[in-house]
Parts: sequence; C-alpha cells; structure tokens
Amino acid sequence: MRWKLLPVLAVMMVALAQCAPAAPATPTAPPQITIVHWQHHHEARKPVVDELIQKFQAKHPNVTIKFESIPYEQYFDKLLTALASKTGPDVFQIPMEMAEQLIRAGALAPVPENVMTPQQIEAAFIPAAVQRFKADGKYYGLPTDVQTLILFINVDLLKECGGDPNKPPATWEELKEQARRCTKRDAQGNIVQAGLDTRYRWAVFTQAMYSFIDGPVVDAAACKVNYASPQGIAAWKLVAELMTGPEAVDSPKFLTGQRKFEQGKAVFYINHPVTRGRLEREAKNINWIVAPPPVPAGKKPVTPLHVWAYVVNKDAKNPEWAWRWVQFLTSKEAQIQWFRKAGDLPSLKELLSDPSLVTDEKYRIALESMTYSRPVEQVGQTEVDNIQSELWEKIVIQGAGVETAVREAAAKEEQVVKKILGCP
Amino acid sequence: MGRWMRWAGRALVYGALVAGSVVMLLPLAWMTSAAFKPLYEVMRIPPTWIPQEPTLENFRAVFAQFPFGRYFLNSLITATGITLSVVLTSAMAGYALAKFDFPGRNFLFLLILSSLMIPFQTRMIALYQVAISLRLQDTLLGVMFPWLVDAFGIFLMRQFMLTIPSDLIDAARIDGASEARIFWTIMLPLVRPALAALAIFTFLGAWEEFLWPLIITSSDASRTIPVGLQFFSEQYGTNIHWQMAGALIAALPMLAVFFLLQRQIIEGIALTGMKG
Amino acid sequence: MARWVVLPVQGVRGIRWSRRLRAWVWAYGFMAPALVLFGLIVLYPSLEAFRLSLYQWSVFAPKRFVGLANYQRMVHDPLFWTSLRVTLIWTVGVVPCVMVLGLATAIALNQPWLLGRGIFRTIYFVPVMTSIVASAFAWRWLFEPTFGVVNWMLRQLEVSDPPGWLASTTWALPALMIAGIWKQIGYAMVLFLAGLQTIPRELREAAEIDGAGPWQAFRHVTLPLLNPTVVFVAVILVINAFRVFSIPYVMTSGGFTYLTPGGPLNSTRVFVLHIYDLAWKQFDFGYGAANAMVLLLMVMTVTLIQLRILQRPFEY
Repeated sequence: MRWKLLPVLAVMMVALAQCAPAAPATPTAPPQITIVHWQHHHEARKPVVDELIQKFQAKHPNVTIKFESIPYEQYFDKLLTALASKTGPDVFQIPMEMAEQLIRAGALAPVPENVMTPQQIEAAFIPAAVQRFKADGKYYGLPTDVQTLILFINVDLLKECGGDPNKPPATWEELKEQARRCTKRDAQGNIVQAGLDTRYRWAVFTQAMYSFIDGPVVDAAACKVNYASPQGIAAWKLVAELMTGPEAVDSPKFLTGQRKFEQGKAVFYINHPVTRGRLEREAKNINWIVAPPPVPAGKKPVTPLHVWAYVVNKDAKNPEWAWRWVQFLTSKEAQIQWFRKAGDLPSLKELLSDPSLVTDEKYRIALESMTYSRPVEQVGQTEVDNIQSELWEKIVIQGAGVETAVREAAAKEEQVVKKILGCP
Repeated sequence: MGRWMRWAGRALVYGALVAGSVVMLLPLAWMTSAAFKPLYEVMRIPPTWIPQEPTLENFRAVFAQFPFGRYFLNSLITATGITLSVVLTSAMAGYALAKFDFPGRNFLFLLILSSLMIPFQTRMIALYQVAISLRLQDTLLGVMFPWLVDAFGIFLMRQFMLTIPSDLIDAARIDGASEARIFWTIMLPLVRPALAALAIFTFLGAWEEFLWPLIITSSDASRTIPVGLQFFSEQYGTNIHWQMAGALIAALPMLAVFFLLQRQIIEGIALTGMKG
Repeated sequence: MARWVVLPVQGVRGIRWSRRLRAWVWAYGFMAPALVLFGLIVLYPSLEAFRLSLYQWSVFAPKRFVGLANYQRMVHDPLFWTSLRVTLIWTVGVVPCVMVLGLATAIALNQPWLLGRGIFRTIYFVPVMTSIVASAFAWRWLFEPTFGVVNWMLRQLEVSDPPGWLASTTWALPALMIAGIWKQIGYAMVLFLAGLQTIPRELREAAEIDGAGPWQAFRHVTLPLLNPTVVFVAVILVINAFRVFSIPYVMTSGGFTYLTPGGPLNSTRVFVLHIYDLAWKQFDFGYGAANAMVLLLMVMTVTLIQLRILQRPFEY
C-alpha cells in the first residue's frame, strides 16, 4: 500500500517543486535564514552570545540565530545523537579533543574559501588554536574560548592563614605547603575550609600532568598515551597527596559537588580564565587575584592550552551564512567582548599583544599565560574524560594504589585513542 | 494494668507517627527554609530552620534565569494532552472489549494485557528511533507521544464496564440510540468514578515523568518542569539557595493540587493503584 | 420492539448477520484509536527493541547484524553485573522497608481511637506528591557531609565520623535508598489502608474476644485477609525498584565533570541508568537494547510470580 503510493507522491513532489519557483519572489527582500546555534552552557558566556546575536542580526536582518545553551553534562549526548539523526544544529562548538573524531566521521563542513582561505586562517589565528581542526589542507573550525589554567587566590582567606598575596605559590611544593596551612578542620578532623578547591578536578590533574611530563602526554602520531611514565605517576601521586590522608587540602566529603572557591570556602583554585566571568557575576563579595599555575620545583611555568572551535554541520542548509556567523563570533570585535565580559582568551594573533586588552593585573596574567602554554593533546572527549575521572575517584575516594591505577587508566585510554584515530 | 498498658501503647503509636511525620516533612521543610535564606545562612552549622535573615532575593534571581512559566505551560499542555488521549482511548477500547462480541476480541485483550509486562524502559530506545523518524524530537508532541495510550487504562475501563449490566445498553439499542450515543450518554456517565481515577493518576504520572523528556527535549520550547528544574540546577549548580527556591517553585503546583483534591487523589490511587 | 420484527422480508438469519457485522464494525471503530496508538508506541517499539538488540549500532556508523553477540558481551561486561547488583540491592533494601513502614502506618491510622487521622494521612502522602526532582535536590543537600542536616543530626548523636554519603562509594547508594523509601511510604500506606478497610472490624474484634492478643489477631486474621493487597503492593514496589531512575540520576549528577550520574565509581549505577548511559552517553544503541531486554525479563518474572500467587490476573 505504502509502496504503491510512492510513485504518486514522487510525481506530486516533482510537480510541487516545479511550482515553487513560479511564485513571485520579491527581489528586494533576501530570503529569511535561520541558523540553529548550540553550545554548552557557561554562566559568563551565554550573555556574550546573546549580545553578539543581537549585533549580528542587526547587521543582517535576513538572518535569525536560534541559540540553545545546553548544560555541559548533556551537551555531547544531545549533540551527537542529533548529528547522527540529521537533526543537529547548523553551528555548534566542539572541544579540540573531538576534532579528529568529527572530521573523520564526515560530520563537519570545511570553511569555504569565499569566507576565509586556509592562508587567511593561518595568518589570523595562533597555530595552537587551529592546528587540530585542519585536515587535508582544509580547516573545519574557527577557534574561540581559548583557555589556559591559572591559579585563583582568595586574598582575604589567604591573609587570614598568614599567606602573602604578593608572593603567590609558584611551585606545587609551595602550593601544597600554603594550602595545607589554609585548610581548616573541625574538632573531628573534617575539612570546613579547603586549601585548594578541587571540584573542577580536570583542571587539577591536567595541570599536574602537563607540568610534570616533559614529552607529549598523548602522542597522536604514535598512538600512545604517556602518563604511565615515571613523570606521569609523579603527577598523580601529587593528586593523592593533595586529596588523601590527614594533610589533605580538600576532600570530596567537603561541600560535595559544590564550587567551594565561588562560595568563599576555598583559598586556592586552579581553573580556566573564563572563571573570571562567573566570579564577577555570582561571587561579587569575594576578593580574589590570579597567578601563574604551579609547576614542579625548578621548572619554567607551563600550562595546558585548551580551545573550543565553532564548526558548521555538513548538513547545514545554508553553510555560507553559518560560516559568516562563525566568522563574526571569532572576529576581533567579538573576541574583545569574549575577553572583557567572560574572560575567554583570544585566539587572534593580533590581540595577543594588544595593550588595550590589559586593563588590570588579572588580565595581564591570564593573557601572559598563553606565552608559556602547550596545547592539550587529549584525543577523544567523553570516554577519555570518564577514564581520567574514574582514575581520580579510584585514587581519591577508594585510596587505590597510584601506580597500578594510573597504568590501567593509561592503557584504557590508549585503546580509545587507537579506536578514534584508526591506529593498528 | 491492662488499661495502663493500653494508654502507653497509644502514646507510643502517637509518638512514632509524629516522629515519622517529621521525617516525611524534613526535605520540604528544609527546601522551604533554604529558599528564603542567603547562601551563607544555608551553610550554617547548626542549621537554622526559621531564616534569621529572610530574603526574597533567591526568588528574584530564580525568576530572572528560570523560565518557569514556559516550563509550567509545557507541563500543563503535555499532561493534559496525555490525560485526554488516555481517558478517551481507554474508555472506547474498554467499552468495545467489555460489551461487544467480535472476532479477535480475546486475542486483542490478551495482547494488551500482556503488554503491561513490557516496561517503558525496554522500549525507550526504539521509541526514540520512532520519535526521530517522525521528527518529534524537541516538540511537545514528542514529549507526549509514548504515553498517549495506556494498556492499563484499557484494562481498568474494561473491568469497570463489565460490572455495568448489559440490559441498559440493549434497552437503549432497542430505543434506536446509536452506538456512539450509547457510549457517550450511557456508559461514560456510569463509569465516571473510574474515569476520574484514571484521569488523575495519568495526569500525575505525566506531570512527574522525567526520563523521557530528558531524552527527547533539547530546548526550552519543550522542556517540562522536572527536566527544566534539572537543567536549571546544572546551569547554576553552585547556588544551593537558588536551587532550593527553584525546587520550591517547581514543587508547588502539584502540592497545591494535592491539597485541593486530596480526597479524590487518595481514593483514586487506592482504587487503581498508581503506576510508579 | 426490536427492529427486525418490522422488517420481516430479510429473514431472521440475514438480519442477525448484518446486526453482528454492524456490531463488529462498531467494536473495531471503538478499538481503532487505541489500537493504532498501541501499535505505534507499544507493539512496534517492543518488537523493534528486540530486533535492535541483535544489531551493533553506534552513532555515525550503519547498523550491523551481529546475532547474539550483544548478549555474549553482556555476560562478560563488569558494568552489566555492577548495575544488576546495584538494582538488586536497591530492591532488597527499599521494598521491605516501604512495605513494613507503609503497613505499620496504615495499621496505626486504621485504629478507631486515633485522633488527627486525616492530618497524618496528608503528611505521609506529601512525599508522593512532591516533585521527584525537587525532593532529590533537597535530599542531596540534606546528605551533604559537612553542612548537611543528616550529618549534623548524626553529630548530635555523638557519631564522631559520619559518612561521606554521596561522596562515598559505600554510602551513596544507602543515601539514595533512603530518599527512595521516603518517597514511597505514603503510597504503600494508602493502598494498605484501602485493603484494611475491606476487612470487617467485627472479625478482628471477635478474635480478640476469643482471647487473642492484638498481635495474634493481626497475624491470624488481618494479615491473611490482607494478603492480596500485600502481594500487589510488593509487586508494584519491586517493579518500581527495577525501573528506578530519577532519584539516582538527579542525586548523583552535578555539572562540570563532578560526578557522572551513577557515581562515584558506578556505585549507584542502577539498571535503567545503565541502559540510559549505554544508549545516550555512549551511543551504543544495540547493546543498550540488549541490556533493556534483561529488564524486560526481570519485570516479566516478577509479574508471572504474582500471577501464580494470586491465581488470577491483576487484583486491583
């Protein structure tokens, strides 16, 4: 029955298609274009997107941007299922760890030459921010949301425990020592003020790994995961030291799941510069400064550089306008907004040395961190995050032996990397 | 002695009931109290039950970021749509199964009955596929569609209609009433209590549904209150005081309905046994 | 008078047939909306779910028939066994507690001398009517180890090292189970009250006059008569336990890489959360469907046991 109807339907469709152009189109009004835009939610970034949409729409009245700010927790589920079922957004944001995966799956449209040529892209953006979005001589994403890791310090709490805000800890040893001094416990020994906020655990163990390990943490070319090395194990032993035992500087049992620094319950905090936006919006009463992130004694400062890129769905109805919108989102004008209002670092070369951006010491330190940064090498998003998170929990909650746990996790991660990159 | 024992026993029962009541009300009480406190008071030890520094600031902040009206409307539309559909399809099918003799009746009845054993969670992956192919994702119809018919409702209505004597129907037929009319003006009024019970627990179930909307919605256009609330907390997870204010607002509509229709709700649930 | 008397020409037999046919048409007409929807949202997805369980189907890759490979993989998957174990612990812990507390409350509220019955009934039923997500939030903060009310109370009781609740692999599941018990007591109570009210008071009074104490009267008169209700409530609660999702999901999720729902370290990964995780986090839809079949098996077993005990379907 259904099959018999098909030819009839087909004929009707063709007839309709023939009719459509016959409808008189007014030449003056360009057709209305709707661009569906998804990104993961961040308190500080959502208002900036809203503002940029207003600006873009004012400039191009024929374009409507439909913006969804999806919680980070559900972002990848919603995004990937939508892409797979061809119901995905036109423009969305992906982290650098996912670049290879999505480019290989053929889910993304390359930047068209009439919007920006590869040469123009390479001339405009810092290499660390774009290199992973390049495949076969084409670029598949334009970067924003550049983040390093820096150290946030609650000045009042630090002074209270005898610290000097003018001499922030530069090494892990100093951080450990000061954080221990600043950790408060009740009579039973339960933490009631954390020396270091580790809610954002990714930041802590990533900074540890990237500052301890000299070579690559993940070697994509060789399909190897290298943090089971002595240096990697030293990094995770540091995590164990910070988090377990009577000298721990934080505990999962203290304000479970809460952001302790934002609530004035932690002295130090390793996080992205964009945390500035959240602190300015939601923790107005906290007096804080920033410093370069801690490194092992005797090493030069180093911080992992992480970036998200705006990409365009290969099924986007209007890829050219989608790319124009992305171009606008990553333009100089927009990046200044991102920087000022959210705290995102710029990805444009010309902005790195723009003195007008450095209006205070916090901005200076955040911007300067890019000069000693190295790009994140992780390949694969959710699966890998889960492996590393599990490793953290094994060490911190279960008190598992660091060496064995790290070896297991690194081996597991290597399997994932091999699967994603199609290594033998 | 016996008398003394009896009084002691009764005192014990009252004591236990009161203690139980405290536990039953604890989360709601804490939620209400925290919703009116500034953050630092929420985190005070020992906890304060009556806010020392009461504030409405939390509600202002919540309403600025939490499109409660939109979620409420979505919940209302979807729960009402589901209820209407379930009540109508159950009553019609129940009527046919109870009062008509037609080929395939027993087979269909058994089929519907045995489908009660298939939990929604077994079907949800396939349902998601159906929803995608019908382009129902992130729409209100998509939120409603797995619940538009309820095998249990059909079974319930059949059982009730079996108890209604067939003479009434036959008499109406002899008087020349059409089948549709008989259904509408004779059967439905007679099974009103069962219909009301079915409607109440269908509505409550739809209002509370969390897993399916979590899967199928991706924007405020289709989020219902439970997923909207979860979404809000994921966005502003750092702020317990806001979270509690949002939770209180989200919990209020159903509690209000409960206090208004308490007798009907409890009787309806006792009558039908609410599905979890 | 019946119509066929007025129309004798057609012959009794023909009229009977046409009347029957008319009845059939009407019957199917009444059934039609339910049947169409039933086919679309119950029958087809059930069969399709089974079919999917025989396929390997991940996001971006085409479906591939793999026969029973998904089921084989399941047997060797530690996560499958973990989530099965978590669900069984939940069932064994939550169901008896809800039954006992619900029945005890119902019996207390059924005492003729009790004052304030309506108020107590309302209070005990409030959790059933409190939004599950909202109450899960409240429980999450009540269980917060440092500033939460639960540990504050424990400290008042001189417990020197109260548990870490949601931050602990040992205590997270009990914390969720307490919330699950709290949520369902009122529901069991209402069903038991309805069951108790069908038992004539004279029966028990007669037993007490015969010299039976209250406990014996309960054991030998009330409980046997209440048996169908007990079985019914138990089955509903067990099925609810197998399908529990909202409380574990909400209480263990919390934004930016804090805890994946079901954590810490999968200690609260109930079975439906396992299916959800496989399908919508790992995009392993075929394998997820195979796991969902196990849930079907569990629910079916319990339902069939119930049928055997009660000897008739659905004692509502």
